[in-house]
Amino acid sequence: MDRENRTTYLLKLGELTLKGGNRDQFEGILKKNIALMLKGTHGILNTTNGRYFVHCAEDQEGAVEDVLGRVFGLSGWAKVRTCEKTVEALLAASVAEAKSLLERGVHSFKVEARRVDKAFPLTSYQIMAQAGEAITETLGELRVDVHHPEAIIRIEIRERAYIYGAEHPGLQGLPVGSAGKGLLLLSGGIDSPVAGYLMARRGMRIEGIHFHTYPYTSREAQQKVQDLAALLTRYTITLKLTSVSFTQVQTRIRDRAPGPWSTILLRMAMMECAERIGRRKKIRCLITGESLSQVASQTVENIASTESLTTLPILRPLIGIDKDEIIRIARKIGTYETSILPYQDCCVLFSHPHPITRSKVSEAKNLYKALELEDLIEQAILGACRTG
Amino acid sequence: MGRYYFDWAATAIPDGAPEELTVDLPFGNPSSLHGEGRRARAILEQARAQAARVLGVPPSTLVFTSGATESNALVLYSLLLRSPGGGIVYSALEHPSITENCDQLERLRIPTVRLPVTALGTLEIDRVVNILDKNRQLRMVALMAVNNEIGSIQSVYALSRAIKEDIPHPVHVHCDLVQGVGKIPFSLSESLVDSASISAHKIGGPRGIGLLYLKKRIQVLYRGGGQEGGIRSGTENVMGAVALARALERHAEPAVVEKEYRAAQKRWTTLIQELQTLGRCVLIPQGRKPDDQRFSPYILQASFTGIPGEVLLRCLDDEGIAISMGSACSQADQKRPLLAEMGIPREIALGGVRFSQGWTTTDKDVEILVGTLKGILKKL
Repeated sequence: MDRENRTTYLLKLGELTLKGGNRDQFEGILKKNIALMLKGTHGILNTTNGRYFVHCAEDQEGAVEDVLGRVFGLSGWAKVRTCEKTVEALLAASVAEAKSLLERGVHSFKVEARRVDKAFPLTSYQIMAQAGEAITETLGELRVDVHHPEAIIRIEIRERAYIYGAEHPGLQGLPVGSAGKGLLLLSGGIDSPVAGYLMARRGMRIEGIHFHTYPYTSREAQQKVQDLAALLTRYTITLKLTSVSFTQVQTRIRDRAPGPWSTILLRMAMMECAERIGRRKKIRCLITGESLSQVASQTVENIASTESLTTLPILRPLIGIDKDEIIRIARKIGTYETSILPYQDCCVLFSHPHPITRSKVSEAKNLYKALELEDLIEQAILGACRTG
Repeated sequence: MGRYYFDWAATAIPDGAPEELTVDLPFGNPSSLHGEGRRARAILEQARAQAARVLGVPPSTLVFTSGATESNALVLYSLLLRSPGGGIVYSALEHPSITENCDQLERLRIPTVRLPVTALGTLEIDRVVNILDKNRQLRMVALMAVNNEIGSIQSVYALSRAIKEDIPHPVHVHCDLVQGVGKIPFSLSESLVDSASISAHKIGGPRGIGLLYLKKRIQVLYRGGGQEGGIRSGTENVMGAVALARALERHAEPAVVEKEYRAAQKRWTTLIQELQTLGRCVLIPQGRKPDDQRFSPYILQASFTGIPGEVLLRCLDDEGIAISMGSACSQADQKRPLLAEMGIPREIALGGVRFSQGWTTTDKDVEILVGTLKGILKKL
């Protein structure tokens, strides 16, 4: 890459800067993640002196910016102008940066400068003063406001001169892989992909499990879940998806259980199956897209029944989030349009028009036991296949 | 695994590739006056003459269209331009290309009357005549010769004769002949219908070409370059017309239709008898007999207790058998209008699947279908 014509981005780290002794560990994971996500863009991560830079050819800017907008652990990033260490070049670059701020609707600014290379003829204060003056003289609409500027133009004199202004907000959170692994129960709906996204944002590596009832549900419904998993990998980097046929289990529930209980019993079976698979994969927790009282199976009584046989912790990042907000996140992360495709993940034959809303745990356990699902679940696990 | 095709009512297995026909076709625009255009015109008119001969009508009564949906729409929307204006009588037996456009006409303030359908999926002649007789505003009737979902055959001859003889005011009788042509013995000239729609791809021809039979001119909504006698403007699809004429010659000659009909009926009688031995099978309508002349031996609607149609469709598809169904399980609340009007209970309608056959279907295919169905029913 030609040093003169390349674009440089400065990355700002998020919450992990608050970490103490284990900060290096978090940073190591973050670096690995960024490098992995940059693959295919020809962008290069450079981390000298504790600063994170990404360099790329100009024609790769779009692809690199897309990646930077998907990395958990960054609080923001800015495109950096680099120039020779002469006063003229520095002032010209400062004006150019100010102009791009003006084009983005900024009207007040201040300049902050840091001179690491003490051989540069101006002091930090002089740099700030001269750059500010050059900018206001050239661009009359911009005014200096040292107390409440709409934007800050930062200048750093190192081995080269760096100038940057507008900062793009990052996704925050912690780097994926820094907080263990969770098994996400992924349906074809709107909620579960968002739940996976939110846990990944807290640093969790995500694996997925999907229950289907082919031929009662369609291949398109299975494909939809695979597509959702693939969309999530834009953020989670990896997402192994295991597809489990629950047709036998669901048929048994339909044939033997009281209709109003069928959904709760099915969810209990899914939890049991997910837990067994999770333990075999050494995964420490389950993740669901449950949101309190959103549907009949998600009342607090029914959630208690659903999890009554499970010992792994069940994380429910959406439990207190309204549907509108969930949809907003789903749109932002690009899963919404796929989630609303009309392929049902449950056949009408299996859903009861009046499901029980306030189940008793003891009753749920008794009914569940009577279904004798042990072997069927084991068979389902043996027949499970990795699909993504 | 072999594939067994039982969805001929959706589209027939193509009878030769349409490209074969194009090799020596002149490319000219049939409306052009130069040699290329004149040669294309000659080929187009030859195709029209061939189609007319097979159908037993004058070539001047045939208009090439893009298919039956367009043919139906051309006739229906002529109501908007009629003077004096008039309304239409139709029923749930009709294809959506009629019913949906009747709804549309109603929104455009054209009177429409939806006739009730009997439990056997037919119209009652007396009722049709009565409604037309009482209401002079109604100037058009849509009669589907063979229903595409359940295969019931309308008495088009008797209905059109009764309408022509008993109704004092002129009534245009339009017949959707898509599932009838090449399948059941039918003569356009004997039937007294005023117009009829035909689609090429249901008889082995390509998509995108169809016919509108028009005994006399109608006013049409869409105008353009005035091709096809001004009925259907747009540069003519010469290749499609040639392919359609060839498909008609192969499959719609009265002698061929008779022969294929008997063979189809034999296979369907076997299929229905076999299905009746399966405890869970309900024929739609239940009153259909194994060799029932009131139904097309190319179409059969049946339901299997407790199995949604789409589930059976998937299971058969996995075994190499292609069938179709009326409504998706996931859209169970959107009742199938025809089956509902026939009084078919919702649970049975939900399980409704359609088997349809064609001229390459064999006794062996039917045997495999029955055997496979038995296997699936044991599992579900």
